[in-house]
This record gives sequence, structure tokens and C-alpha cells, in this order.
Amino acid sequence: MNATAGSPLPCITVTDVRPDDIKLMALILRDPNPIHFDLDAVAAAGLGDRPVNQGGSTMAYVMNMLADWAGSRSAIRRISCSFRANVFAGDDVEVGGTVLEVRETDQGDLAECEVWADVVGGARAITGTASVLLPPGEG
Amino acid sequence: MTISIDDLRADLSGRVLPGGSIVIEPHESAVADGALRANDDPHGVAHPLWFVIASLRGMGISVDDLCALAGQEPGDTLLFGSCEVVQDVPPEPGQGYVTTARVGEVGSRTIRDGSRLDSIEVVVELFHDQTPVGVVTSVYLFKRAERQ
Repeated sequence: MNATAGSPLPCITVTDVRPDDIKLMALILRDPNPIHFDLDAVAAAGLGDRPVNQGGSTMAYVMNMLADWAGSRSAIRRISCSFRANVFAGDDVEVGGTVLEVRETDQGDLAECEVWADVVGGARAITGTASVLLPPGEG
Repeated sequence: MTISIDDLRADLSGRVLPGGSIVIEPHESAVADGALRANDDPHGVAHPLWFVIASLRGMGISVDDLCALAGQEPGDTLLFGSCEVVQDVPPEPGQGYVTTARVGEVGSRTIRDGSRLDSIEVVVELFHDQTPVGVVTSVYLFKRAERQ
């Protein structure tokens, strides 16, 4: 892994966000907002004709990218995301980021990163930052 | 009439919410991993999104209740503005967690289209066997509809 200031994080792309996955996450999140499963509600909200992915699910794609990069979900010590645009069923979502700095801590080397999620061919859905503990010898 | 920001602040800032508890059921963890397109973790820990899931399920009030506290009226739109997760100890499938919750900052601004956008911060802390394992700070936005 490349974990020096300025190095890019390996991008991943989630292809074709599935409406059934949005419904599953509505159940797991206990999220009653109908824009995730009721097309009439989506249209009434002026959001078009496709269910809206949960912001948390798009944030999870960023977490997936960080966990794949660092080798473990445990390595993610902090992540902060601002939700700037909707992701809809059928969209492809690319997530990535950049290492801003690496600093030593009591627990090991910690990479401070800028992260993002983009709808492919569309808007930036998430901007954020994350702190990721690097595997020993990678700082 | 839309609730005033002064009333909203007075009513909500610092308010302690009931909190609650959650068990990360292994089947729900597996279903969530599939829905989130997540790869398996080498140590078997749960997806860090479970902090966010726990924060929603562990406020002690529903999202609809939060909307009511925020004085949501027909035409007002709820948006998820931002979310920060601090993971001290990774969550594990099969384990139970206790949550405490409170309202943090309450703010308001006018956005480009002239609408009023109120923000309500909710802070949820998670504990396992009385040991803190993480904190989730979420900001919910209420875009107020124009009213006569």
C-alpha cells in the first residue's frame, strides 16, 4: 500500500445500486422514509422515478474502500461525511480519496485522508475525511 | 407557522434523548454486508456502518419523533446533512450495545434559494459492558417550506 502524503487511495466502483438493497437497508436502519421504497413518494418529493439510496449506505461504500485499503474494518478510527447529492437506484458510484498526512500515534501510524463518493457521470455525493490506522511497517 | 429558531434552540439544545440498546444479530450483519457490497473482514468484525445503524435505532426516539420535535410541518423536507463515526472498538456480530443520546448544536441558515435550513445535531455514544466503543454525531437538516 502507498501511504504517503498526496498518494491516492485505490478507488472502487459500486455498480448498479440495487433497489432491493435499498429496501433491505431501510429495514436494517429502521428508516421509514418512503423515498427509499415507494416510487410515488419519490415522485411526490420531486426526486424523479428511482428510489433514493440511503446516505449511510453511500457512506458505507467509502468505509468499504478504506477497509480494503487498510486490510481491516478495525483500521477505520474515524470517518466524517457530508452528504451533498442523492444516489439513486441504478447509479454507479465511484469512491476514492487521498492521503493528506501520516502521523505517529500511541497505536501506530495514522493516515489522515480526504475521501469522496461520486455518482459516475453525475454529482459528488459525499465529501469527507477519515483517520485510518496503518498496518505496521506501512507508515 | 414554522417554529422559530430561538424556540427550537431553547427546546432542543442539550436535550437528553432516551437512548436504548441494540444487538447486532448475525443474520442482519450478513444481510447488511451483502446490501452494502462489503468484502468479508479478516477478523470477523461487523461493518463500521453498524455504528450509524445503532445511532438511528438507539436514539430512543424514531426519526418521525425527531421530525416532530423539530416542528416539521407539511412541505418541510428532512435531509441527512452529515455524519461522523469515531470507532474506538469495532462492533461484533452477536454482541449487544447500550446507547446514550442527546441533542447537540441547533442551528439555522438561509440557503441560496432563500429557504430556511435548520440543523439539529444528535450525538449517540455506544457502550459494550459499560466500556465506550464509539460515538456517532449526525446532523439532520430541515429545509423549511415557504409559508404565507
